[in-house]
Amino acid sequence: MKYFFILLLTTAFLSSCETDEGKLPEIEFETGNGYVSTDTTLLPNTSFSIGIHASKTESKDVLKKFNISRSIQQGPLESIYSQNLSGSDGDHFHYVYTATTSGTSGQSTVYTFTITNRDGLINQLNLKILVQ
Amino acid sequence: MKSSHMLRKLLLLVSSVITLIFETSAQNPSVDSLHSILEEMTVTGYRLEPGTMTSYNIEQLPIKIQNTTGRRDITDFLSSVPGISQLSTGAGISKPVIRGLYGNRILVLLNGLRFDNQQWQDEHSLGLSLNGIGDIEIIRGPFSILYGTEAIGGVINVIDSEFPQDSFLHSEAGLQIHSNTLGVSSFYSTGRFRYNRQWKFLASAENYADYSDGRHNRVINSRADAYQLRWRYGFRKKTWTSTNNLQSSFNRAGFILNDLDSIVVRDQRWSRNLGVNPAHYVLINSATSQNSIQLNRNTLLQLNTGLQSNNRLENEGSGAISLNMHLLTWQYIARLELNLNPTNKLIISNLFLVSNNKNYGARKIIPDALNQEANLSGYLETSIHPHLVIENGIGIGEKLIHTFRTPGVNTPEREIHVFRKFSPYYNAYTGFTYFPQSRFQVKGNLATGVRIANLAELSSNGLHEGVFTFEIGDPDLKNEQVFSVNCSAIFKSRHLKFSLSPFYNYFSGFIYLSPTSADWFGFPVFRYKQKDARQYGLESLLSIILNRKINLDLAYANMISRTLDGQYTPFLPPQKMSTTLNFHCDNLKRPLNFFVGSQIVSAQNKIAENELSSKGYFLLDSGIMYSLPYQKSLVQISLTARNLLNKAYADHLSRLAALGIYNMGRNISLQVIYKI
Repeated sequence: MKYFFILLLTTAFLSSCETDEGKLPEIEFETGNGYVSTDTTLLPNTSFSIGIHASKTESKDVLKKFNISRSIQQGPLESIYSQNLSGSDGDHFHYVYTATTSGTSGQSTVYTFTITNRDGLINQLNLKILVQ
Repeated sequence: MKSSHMLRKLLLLVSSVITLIFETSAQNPSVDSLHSILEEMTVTGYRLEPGTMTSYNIEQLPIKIQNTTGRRDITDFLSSVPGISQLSTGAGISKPVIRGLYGNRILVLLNGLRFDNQQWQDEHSLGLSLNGIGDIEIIRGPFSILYGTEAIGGVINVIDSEFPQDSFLHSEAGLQIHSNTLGVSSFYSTGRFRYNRQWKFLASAENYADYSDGRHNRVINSRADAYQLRWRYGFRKKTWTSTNNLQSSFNRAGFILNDLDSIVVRDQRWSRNLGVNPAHYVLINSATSQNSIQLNRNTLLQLNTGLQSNNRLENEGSGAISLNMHLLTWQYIARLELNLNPTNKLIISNLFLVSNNKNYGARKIIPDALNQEANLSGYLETSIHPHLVIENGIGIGEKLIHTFRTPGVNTPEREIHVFRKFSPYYNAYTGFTYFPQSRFQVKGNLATGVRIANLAELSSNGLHEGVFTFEIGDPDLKNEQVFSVNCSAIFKSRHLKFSLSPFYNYFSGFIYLSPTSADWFGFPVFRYKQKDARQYGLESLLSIILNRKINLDLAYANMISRTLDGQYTPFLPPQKMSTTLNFHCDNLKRPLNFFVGSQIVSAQNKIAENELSSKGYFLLDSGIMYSLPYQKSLVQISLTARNLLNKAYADHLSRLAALGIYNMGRNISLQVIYKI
């Protein structure tokens, strides 16, 4: 009996577990006519659109929040758009971000698109727009 | 009567089987005395002496059927004590609050050693069942001199029920059912004393469906269950007494989130399924040993040591376990008592603890880390004369926290990096207890307490589940130190007992979570900060013994807790007054107890930033207990109604109040215990 308990305890204490890294939610740029989907140089005061597709990767680990942040000239990241996701958006989300480049030649802006699921796991895409 | 015989036979049969199993490894013919009684080793303070003879504010709470019926766990039981409340996240997740302090500011001892159930987050339950517990001792105020960090607001010492004290096999079975949740709690224990050795085995299981509030609304996913196995084995040799424990428990509790409606599966009303909806699972295994060795006539050594494994798993609504943390702790507490002369006793105490925290889940909020702590203290107790005892002590200690690289928490691109933090600390204690008259006692102490910031406060860097705030720790947080004054005046006469216990705490570097104007990819950012804070308040108890059968208890507790810039600290317990009228009838061999009690809790408008105020409420409880001796056995029956008026209320310390969720409505509980 004594050995049974020792064995039981040893097993309970030392049982090794695998680390679960989790599956990140998917996020990708929309490609095709009219959408910017790679780092690009544009003329000043030019309108552009970036399309985003995001989707959950596990059945109940739904999408929770979508955020767009930007950093101008390698400055601090500022949040420019956030949306809480629920319902069908939690399974799959599509968003088109439209903006206009500044009038300052040589200015670079890095946009960060972040999708977060309810487990708090995030996935991000970055895209740089340079004003010619 | 026939069914009673059957039950008795069944219990005897089960007991005999367990006896056979355990006694094959326990028998030893070296008999010192069949009738010697083994002493319980656990003691919260420095001495195995009555609490009245110490200067610290200690209270012993025996676990009896009349005060546990209808109480779900230790935290729920303690919340009936003046000055103690519970911080709850539903009925199944709660932690004790002593004088407004909770979590890592309260030290819990189990089997004479620190019990660590990862109390660094508000929604982490203490998770200790009442089954198998004999007494609980409460120390209000800091006691870091003996227990090092965390014993800053108080100490809760959970003491196992006593071993059987004769050579007969003693068994006990209990069943409790609750009307509100259709909950069932049951236990079975058996044990015996033989050949200077003794053992006890306990198994218990609890299961609760969702509760209903005072408006008969079901609080979805407030269900819980708990299972435990305990085995204790003790022996006594000439100068050595030892108690050894193996314990395993598994608790599950449904978790209520702010967006629960969008993710919860609305199953059947009395469903107990905890595999789908968000839930916390905690698996605890421990092996401990408590030893007392009389080295010579004037020297006693007490040595407690143990290993504890704590595995916390959380399903945050994604349908699978996302947080999976394992905390493995080894520790010892050694205490040497030296009787220097008839008036002076010196106690030297040493504590050492090492723990390893490891993440296995996809979601991480604190990093993998190694903690090590040591504490050394000296304590001199001087009996000036039989009516005056003076106690003085000093202590030093250190805590080392070493974090390891953990993806998503402290990788190079994140704000918090891997660190190694060494924190020395010092403590002092001075106090007295004085009996100016035989009926009147005065106690007072000045004590310091210390807490090293926990892993969450130092190094968290992630989303807090449920509330979706991004919390960032600060590795440079300094020690949280308290300077405390605790007093008690107690008057006891034949018909009256009165006590008044005021206290004052000054916190240097009180650690709190503060909102900021920043956001992290759309989530509000909160940071751990420090400010000095003051707390003061009192507990008072008036007990009027009208005659042998009737007594009336009136209790009152109130406190204030503010940082020096005038902000109230969060979850400040509101004023509470409780009255209990007890009726006791000891008619021949069938004692009958009846009580009716009320709680008046005031509104709380003294709130922290981002906290909501709460309304006051009035609750009425009642119960009746009956003991029926039957041949060599005893049947105890208890029927208790809590929130008898089915009041819809939200306690200020309920974390669900912010979600508009009320506490439990009327709950009628029936408990039957059968002892042979």
